[in-house]
Amino acid sequence: MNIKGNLPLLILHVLSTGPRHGYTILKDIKQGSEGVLRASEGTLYPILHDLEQRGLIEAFEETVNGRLRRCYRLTESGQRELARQTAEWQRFSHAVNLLLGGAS
Amino acid sequence: MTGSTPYANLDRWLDQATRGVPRRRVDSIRAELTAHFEDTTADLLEQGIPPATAQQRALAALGDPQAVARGFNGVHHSPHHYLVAALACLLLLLENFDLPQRFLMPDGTGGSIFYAADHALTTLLTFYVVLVMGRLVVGHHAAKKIVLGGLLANLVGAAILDLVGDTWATVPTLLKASNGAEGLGFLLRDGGILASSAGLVVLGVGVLPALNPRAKGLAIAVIIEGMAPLLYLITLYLDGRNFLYFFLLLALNTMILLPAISLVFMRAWISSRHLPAQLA
Repeated sequence: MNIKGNLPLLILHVLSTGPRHGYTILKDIKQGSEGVLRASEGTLYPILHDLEQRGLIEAFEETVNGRLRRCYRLTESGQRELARQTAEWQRFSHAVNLLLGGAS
Repeated sequence: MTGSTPYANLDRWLDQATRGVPRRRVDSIRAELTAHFEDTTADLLEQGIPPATAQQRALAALGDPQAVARGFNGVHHSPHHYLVAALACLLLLLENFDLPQRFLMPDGTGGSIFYAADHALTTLLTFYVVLVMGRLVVGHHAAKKIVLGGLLANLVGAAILDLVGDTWATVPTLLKASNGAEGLGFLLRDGGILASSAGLVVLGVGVLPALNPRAKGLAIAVIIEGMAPLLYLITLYLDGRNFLYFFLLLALNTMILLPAISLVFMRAWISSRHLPAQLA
């Protein structure tokens, strides 16, 4: 189960429901995955910056809870990439489920 | 940058986590990670956990600072080094075809000082290219030191041979050195090549499991770049000077690797210039 490798996909998915800053992104991923995800939290940020450099998300500054924060939002190419990777993931997990004979 | 937050342990953690990050990004990255730390602490305080424990846990949750630094180093680079390194690669390419010599000394009468300077320039350029490649690699400090130390030894050894010995004629290796100075020259030159090449292979292998496809490609180039002189050295000592091997390895090194590495650097330079100014 390569959760760390899929962190970019999960980040894009979380951002598709609205912009957030780093801490909230991680919280949403943790809650959504029912605590399965337990990456070392600091490593979220290099991944965020990498997604930003690749143009899939963009950063902006916003005051949240009285502090100026770096927030991220999905770009158009990020939306396309999210759709592409989600479809790929669904095909993959469907195939694995078939092979393992379990219910999807 | 120590002392930038009210938390001493966090400062130390941030120092390690931002090691190797370009100066222009360090402050904003520190601020971002500090905000995360403070959010975590605030959440834990709400759950009734005492402040000291909350801070400890928040710091622990951030995880291994070296892993974070490795992540950042794969993403944030100083742009100008890439452009210069790309140009250095192209210059090395010209050097491999002896083009500067042909241009500056068309009748071929260089004199030993000229060749010494030429070798020195080539090695210094290689030094620089390796340094810039090393910026994509966090950790593996021992391997990096060995590579640079090896290149330095190579530089000194080649200089000695150019000034004192007669490498192009009859004495290609240490085993046939005719005097102490030549012996020392060979020892340093070939020992240096051995060390720097082996170091490059180790470095490349260490970076291979990287997240970043660009770093992966560079790792493979580094490994081949290390293996070529190693193989040449082995054939030289086992089989004497064999021009076929020499030219094959030269072709491999020059025509494939240097342009490839140059391209990687150019793409890195171009992509790093697209950072929006206010967020850089």
